[in-house]
Amino acid sequence: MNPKDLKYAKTHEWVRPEGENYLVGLTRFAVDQLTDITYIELPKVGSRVEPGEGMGEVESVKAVSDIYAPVGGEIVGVNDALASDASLVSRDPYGEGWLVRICPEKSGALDHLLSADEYAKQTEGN
Amino acid sequence: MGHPFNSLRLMPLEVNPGTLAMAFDELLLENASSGQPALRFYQWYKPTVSLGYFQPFEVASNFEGMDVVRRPTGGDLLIHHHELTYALALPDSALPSKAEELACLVHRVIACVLASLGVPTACQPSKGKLQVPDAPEGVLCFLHPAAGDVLAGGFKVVGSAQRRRQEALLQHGSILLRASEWAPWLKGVSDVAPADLTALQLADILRLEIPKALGMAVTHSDWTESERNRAQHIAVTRYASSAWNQRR
Repeated sequence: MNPKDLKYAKTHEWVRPEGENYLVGLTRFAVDQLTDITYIELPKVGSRVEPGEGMGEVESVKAVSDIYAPVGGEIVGVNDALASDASLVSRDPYGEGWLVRICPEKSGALDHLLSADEYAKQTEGN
Repeated sequence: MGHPFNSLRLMPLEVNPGTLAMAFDELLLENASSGQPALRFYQWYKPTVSLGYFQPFEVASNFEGMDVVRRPTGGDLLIHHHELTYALALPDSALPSKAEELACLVHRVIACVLASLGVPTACQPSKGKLQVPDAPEGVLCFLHPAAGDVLAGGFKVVGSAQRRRQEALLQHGSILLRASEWAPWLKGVSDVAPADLTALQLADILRLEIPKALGMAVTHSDWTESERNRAQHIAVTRYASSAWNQRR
C-alpha cells in the first residue's frame, strides 16, 4: 500500500514534504522489484540535482539500476546508515530506508508528481 | 537506421577488446532506451578481468598482468578468456514483469542448447557457493552461482548481470567454453562433457533460439559508421579511463 500523504515519480521514487525540504526514498514497488539490495550509492551533500536526472545507483542480485531525482534542488541530507546496511531500504522503504533530503529550487516542485492512487494505477498488473 | 523497432536487431559475432566490448554493450542499452531491442555475441580480444560495477578495484590485484575493465553491470569479478559472451538490450515494453525473469529465460535457453549439444546442465536452485581449493576467496563470480545460473559437471558455466536504465535494460553474460590458465579453478562446457564446442557453433544456435524464446522476429544488421564512432568514444572516455575503472 502506498502511503497517501506522499507524492510519487513514475521512476518509483517517493517524496515527503518536510518543512522547507523534501525527503526522498524508493517505493515499496521498486524495492520488491529489486529484491535483495546489496549496494547503494547516493549523491554528496551540497550537490545539485535536476528533476528526472540520475542521482544515485543501487545494486541488487547482480543488477545495477539508476535512482532518479524526483525534484530538483540541493542535496542537504543523505541517509548515511545505508552505507553500512543497504538492506534498510528493503526493510523500511518509507521510514528508516529513506535516501536523501532535497532543498527544492522552486515552489511547485511536486506538481508533476503522481498521487498514491495514480502511482498505484501505474504499477498495477506488474 | 531502417530497423523496425518491434523486431530484435541481431548483430554479427565479433571479437572486441574489453573496453570496446563494454562500450558496444552500453550503446546497445542506449539504443534500447530509444525503443530498439538488440542481441549480440562476442569474444574477447585478449584475456581480460571485468569488475562488477560496485566492486573495489583492488580485487583485480589477484590477476596482475591482465587487462582490467569495469562493467556497467553488477555482480562479481569475471575472467573472460575462452568464452562466448552475449549482450541483450530490451526496452521496458519488451521485458518480463520482473527483470530477473529475463536472466532465467536466457539461461534456460542456453541450458537447453547445451544439453542438445551433449552437455548435461542443471539450473542453480538458489544462491550458492562452490568450494574450489586454491581459488581466490570471495571475488570470482563463477564461484558464486545465483538462482537460475547454469551449471555443468558441478561448475557454473553460464552467468549474467544486468544494468537497468530508465525505460530499458541491458543483460550480458558469459558462457565458459574451456578453462583459462588465468583461472584454472573454473571449468568450461568442453571440460566437463565430451563436446568440443566452438563459440561460432554456439552463437549460431543461440541467435535462433533466444529470439524464439523472447517471441521476437529478428532483423540482421551490423553497426553503422556513426555507431562505431560512438562506441569508440564511449570506450575511450569511460571504459579505458582510470577514473572509471578505479572509481572504487
